[in-house]
Amino acid sequence: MIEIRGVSKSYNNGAIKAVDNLSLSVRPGEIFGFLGPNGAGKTTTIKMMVGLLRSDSGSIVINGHDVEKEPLKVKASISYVPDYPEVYEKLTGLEYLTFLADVYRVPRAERMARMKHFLELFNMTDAVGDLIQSYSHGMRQKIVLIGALLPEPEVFILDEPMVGLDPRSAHNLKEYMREHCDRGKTVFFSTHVLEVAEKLCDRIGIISHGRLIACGTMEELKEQAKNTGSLEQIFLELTEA
Amino acid sequence: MRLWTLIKQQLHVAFNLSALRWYARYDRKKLAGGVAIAVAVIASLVPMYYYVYLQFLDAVFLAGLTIGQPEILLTLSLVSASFIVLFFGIAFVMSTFYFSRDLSLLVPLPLTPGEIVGAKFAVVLVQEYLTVLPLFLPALIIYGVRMGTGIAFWPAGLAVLLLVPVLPLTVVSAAILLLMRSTNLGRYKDFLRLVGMVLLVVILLGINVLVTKLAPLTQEDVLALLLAEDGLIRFIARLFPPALLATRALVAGGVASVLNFLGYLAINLAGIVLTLFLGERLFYRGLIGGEEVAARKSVSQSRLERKMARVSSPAAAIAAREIKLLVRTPIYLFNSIGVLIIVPVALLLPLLMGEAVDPLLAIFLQPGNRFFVNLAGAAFIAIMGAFTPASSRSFSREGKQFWLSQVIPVPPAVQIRGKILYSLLLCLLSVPLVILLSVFFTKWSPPELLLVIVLGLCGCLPAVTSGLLIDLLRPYLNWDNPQRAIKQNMNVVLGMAVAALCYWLLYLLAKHLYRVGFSEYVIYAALAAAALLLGYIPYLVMLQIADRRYRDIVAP
Ligand SMILES: Nc1ncnc2c1ncn2[C@@H]1O[C@H](COP(=O)(O)OP(=O)(O)OP(=O)(O)O)[C@@H](O)[C@H]1O
Ligand SMILES: [Mg+2]
Repeated sequence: MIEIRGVSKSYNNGAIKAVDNLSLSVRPGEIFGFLGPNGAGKTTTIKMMVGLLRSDSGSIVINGHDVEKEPLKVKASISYVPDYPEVYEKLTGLEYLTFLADVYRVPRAERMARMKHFLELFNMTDAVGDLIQSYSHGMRQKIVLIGALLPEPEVFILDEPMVGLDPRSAHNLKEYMREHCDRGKTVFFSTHVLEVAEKLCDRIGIISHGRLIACGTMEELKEQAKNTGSLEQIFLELTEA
Repeated sequence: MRLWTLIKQQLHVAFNLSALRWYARYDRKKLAGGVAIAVAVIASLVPMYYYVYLQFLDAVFLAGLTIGQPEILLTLSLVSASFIVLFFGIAFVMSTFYFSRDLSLLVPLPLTPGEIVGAKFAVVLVQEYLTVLPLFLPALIIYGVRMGTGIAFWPAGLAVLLLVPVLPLTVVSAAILLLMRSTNLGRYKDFLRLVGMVLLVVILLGINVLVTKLAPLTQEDVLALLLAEDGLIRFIARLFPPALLATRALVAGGVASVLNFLGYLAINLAGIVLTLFLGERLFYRGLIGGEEVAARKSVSQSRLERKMARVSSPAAAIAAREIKLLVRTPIYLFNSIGVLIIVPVALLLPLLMGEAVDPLLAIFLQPGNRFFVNLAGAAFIAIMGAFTPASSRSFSREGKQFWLSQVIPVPPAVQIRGKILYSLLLCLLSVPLVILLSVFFTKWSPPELLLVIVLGLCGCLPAVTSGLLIDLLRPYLNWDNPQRAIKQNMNVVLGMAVAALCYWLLYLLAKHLYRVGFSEYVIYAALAAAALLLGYIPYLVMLQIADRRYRDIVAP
C-alpha cells in the first residue's frame, strides 16, 4: 500500500520544480505503472518513496509507515531497483546477494530457495560466482533485481526495470510482478514502454512537469482523455505541451 | 593543439571547475560552506606546519650558514619534495592513468594514447603542485630573504619550483606504464599490480640506501664534506642528483646559473618525452583488457549451496563487505597497507645498516627506560592507525554505491558500528610489525607486549571514530577514480589533524602524570581511559546525527 499526499520537491533552492504537489495511492495487490516524458519527475518521486531524497512538503506513507518518521520500518517492507544500478564491482554476484539477504535478515531456508529460483529464472546461475565487474549491463540489472526480490517485499519499487533486459528476462519479470500482486503485494514501477504498461498494470499514473495529469485504470484514462485509442495515443495527447 | 584542449578539459574535470562556476552562480551558500571547510582544514594544519616544518627549515638554514653552505636548505628541500612526489605519485599516477571513469569515453575518441597520457600526466602534475608548493616555497623564501639575494633569484626560483615535481612524476609514470603493461595478465592482475607497486617503493628506497651506503664515511670524509665548498650539498644531492643542478641554477649566479638551469630543464623535458613515448607504446596495452577479470569460474552446485547458506548479522555483513572491497581494489589496498610496509622499511633499512644508531638504540633500550619504550610502542600502533585512514574515507569510498546503504533496512548506527569494526581490524595490521620490533629490538616480555598492543589499539580508537565522524559530515561521493576518494579527500587530512590533536592531548596527559610521579601502571590505565573517552565522544555524536545524515546525503 502506498499513499502519497501533496508531495513536492524542487532542486537548486527552488529553481527547478521536479515534483509539484503530487498525490496518488496504490492499493495492495495492485501493479501501478508510472509514466511520463523525460524529466517529468518519475525518478525524483521514486527516490523520495525509498528514502533517497527528502520531500520539501507532503507525506509518503508505505504499508502504514511514514517515510520520514519510521524510515526503517518502511525500508524493511520495500525493495527498490534504481534506474541505473551502481553496484559493488568487486563483489561476486553471490556475495552481493548474500550481503542483501543478511541485511534484510532473510532466514537461511528462504534465502536458499529464493536464490536458486531467481538465479534460474533470470539465467544467472552460471555467472553468479564471478565479480560483478565482469557482468554485462543487463546482467548487472538482473543481479540488482534478484537482490531486490530476495526479501519478498510487501512493496516492490522499480525505476524503468525493463531497460537492458533481454526479452525472456523481461517476460519473466512481468510474470513475476503479476504473481507477486496476486499474493496481495504491491508493485510500483516507472516505464517508457507503453505496451507493457497497458497490458500489465492495474492502474496507471501519468506525470508531466512534476504534476500528475492523469491517473486510473485504462478505462478511466480513456474517459479522462476522451480518447478511445491506445495508451500511446492517450499519452501523446495528454502530454502535449 | 589537440593535446592542449584535452589537458584543459581534463583539468576542468579534475578540479570540478564547471561545478564551481555553477555553485558560484546558483548556490553561493554551498560554495561558501565548501570554502569555509577548506580554510578550516588549512588553518588546523598551520600551527603544526609552522612549528614543525618552518622551524626545521630555518634551523637547517642556520646550520648550513655556520659551515658556509647555506644552500643546503635548498638542496635538502628539493630532494625531499622530489621523494615525496615520487612515493605518493605511485598510487596517484596508476589511479589517474588507468582507473579514471572517463577513460571509456576518451579511448574511442580520435586521440593517440600519448595524448591521453599527456593530459592525465598534466592533471597529476597540477595536483602535485599543491604538495610541492608548501614544501619548497618556504625554503625558497627563507633562503632568498635571509641571504638577501638579487632580483634574479625569484624568477629562477619560480621556474625551479614549477619543475620540481616534473621529473619524479615522469619516473613514476614510466615505471607505472611498464608495470601495467607487464602485468596485464588476466586473473592475478590485481595481485601482481599490488606487488608491483610495493616493489617499486622498495626499489626506490633500496636505491636510496645503496647510494648512501656505497661510500661509508670516515671521520676525514666528514670533515672534507664540511670544508669543501659545496661538499655537503653534493652529498645530499647524491640521493637525487638533479637537485644539484637545480640548487646551482639558483645560487651559482651568472652564466653558471643559466647553464645549470638549462641542464635541469633538459632532464625534465627528457623525462616528459620518455613518458609520452612509453605512453604511446604501452598505455593501451596495459589498459585495454584491464577491465577483464577472472574468467568464469564454474562454481559447483554444492559449493554454491554452501555459500548461500552462510548467514551473518547485518553488522558483520557490512564489515565483511568493507574488507572484501578493500582487499580487491589494489589502489585502496596499497593506500592502506602500503604505509604499513613503507614506514617500517624506511625505518628499518637505515637502522639495520647504520652502525651510528646502535649506541642511540642502546641508550633507548636501557632497563630504566622501559616505561618510555612501552609508550613508544603503543604510540607506534596508534600512529600507524592514524596513517591507515580507513575510517575517514569510509563513507566517501562507497561513492555512487551509497544508495544501497541508504535503502537497506539496517539502522545507520549498526552500519557505523560495522565500519568501526572494520577500521579497528585494519589497525590490527600493525601488530605483526610490533611483534617483529619486539623480537629484534625491544625484547618485550609477553605481558609487556600485550600491554603495548592493547594500549596502542585504545589509541587508535579516537583516530577511527573522529575520522568516521568527519566523513559522515561531509562525504565525498562523486569521485571519478578511486584514488580521488582517498587522496583528494580533505577528510583524510582533516582526520589526521584531529588524530594528531588527540595524540597531543594524550601526550600532555602522560607528561603531566609522569611529572606528578604516578606509577607506570596508573599512567597506562589513565591513557587507555582517556583514549577510549576521546574515541567515544565522536561515536556518541555520530549516533545522534546518523539517522539524519543517512536520510539527507544525496548520492550522486
Ligand atoms: N540531482 C539533480 N539536481 C538538479 N536537478 C535535478 C536532479 N535530478 C533531477 N533533476 C531535475 O528534476 C526533474 C525531474 O527529473 P527526474 O529524474 O525525476 O525525471 P524522470 O521523470 O525520471 O525522467 P526520465 O524519464 O528521463 O528518467 C528534471 O527537470 C531534472 O532536470
Ligand atoms: Mg528517471
